[in-house]
Amino acid sequence: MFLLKEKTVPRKLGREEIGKLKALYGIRRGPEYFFSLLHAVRELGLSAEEKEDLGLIYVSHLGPVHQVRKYVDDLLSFPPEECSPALFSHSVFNAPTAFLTQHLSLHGPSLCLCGFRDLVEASVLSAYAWLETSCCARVLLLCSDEESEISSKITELTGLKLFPSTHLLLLGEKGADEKSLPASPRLLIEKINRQIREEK
Amino acid sequence: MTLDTENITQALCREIATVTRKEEKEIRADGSLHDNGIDSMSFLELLLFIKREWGVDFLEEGIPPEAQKDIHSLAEHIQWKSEKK
Repeated sequence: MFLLKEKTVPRKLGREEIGKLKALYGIRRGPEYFFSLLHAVRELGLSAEEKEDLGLIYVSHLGPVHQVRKYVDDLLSFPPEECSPALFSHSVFNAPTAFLTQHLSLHGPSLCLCGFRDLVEASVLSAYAWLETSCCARVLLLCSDEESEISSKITELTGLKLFPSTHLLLLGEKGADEKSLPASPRLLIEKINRQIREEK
Repeated sequence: MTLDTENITQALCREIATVTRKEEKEIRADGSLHDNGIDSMSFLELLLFIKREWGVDFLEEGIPPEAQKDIHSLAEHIQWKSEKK
């Protein structure tokens, strides 16, 4: 984080200063993500019927990276019982996802996927499994990272223009109006497989 | 349970104690949410609790500053909003 004042050179902030700024403005990622997701879901204008049987998958490149590294690093340095699995938690994403599920009274499953690679593929496969096993009728795929591999991959696969700040996509074979949704996980998996074959 | 300010205040204090992992007796009804250890994440939890218990949705419009003075004021505001519905 840098502090930029008019006519001054940007100055890198120390940990303590960042802490003070965060406390001053109440900056925390969880609530920010929650409100950005809530805003995006409202913009999507889901019907009550669509919400009733909706699964939720939140994907992000952010979040766990630092914690995972620290946890793995601790495992190398200390005995396992002295390493905190809480560091491995994805709670910064799980919490807003859970709040959103509660607030919108969603009854389907919810899941957070965080990592570096193939997140869209993993989420489409999870959505496909949920739909095939009738866990839910539709799955909402959410991502609040700014421009990233996730958003470009979703656009590449579906050709859909996504919501500008929070990327979201309704996955399913049929919408509440029984019309086919443009993002059918079955078709997306076929596309992904085709891409993998072509890469080989 | 009758919906009066005292009942709402008690329920709020119980919930605040739960989300802040404190003893209920440590929660002061004449203190603000911040004074009682509510941070931004637990604030969201509290808003969802209020919606679930009394059907008052502060997530949509926020809590007005006068209702944030202390837990009593918040309870009074919840009661007023709930009766207005």
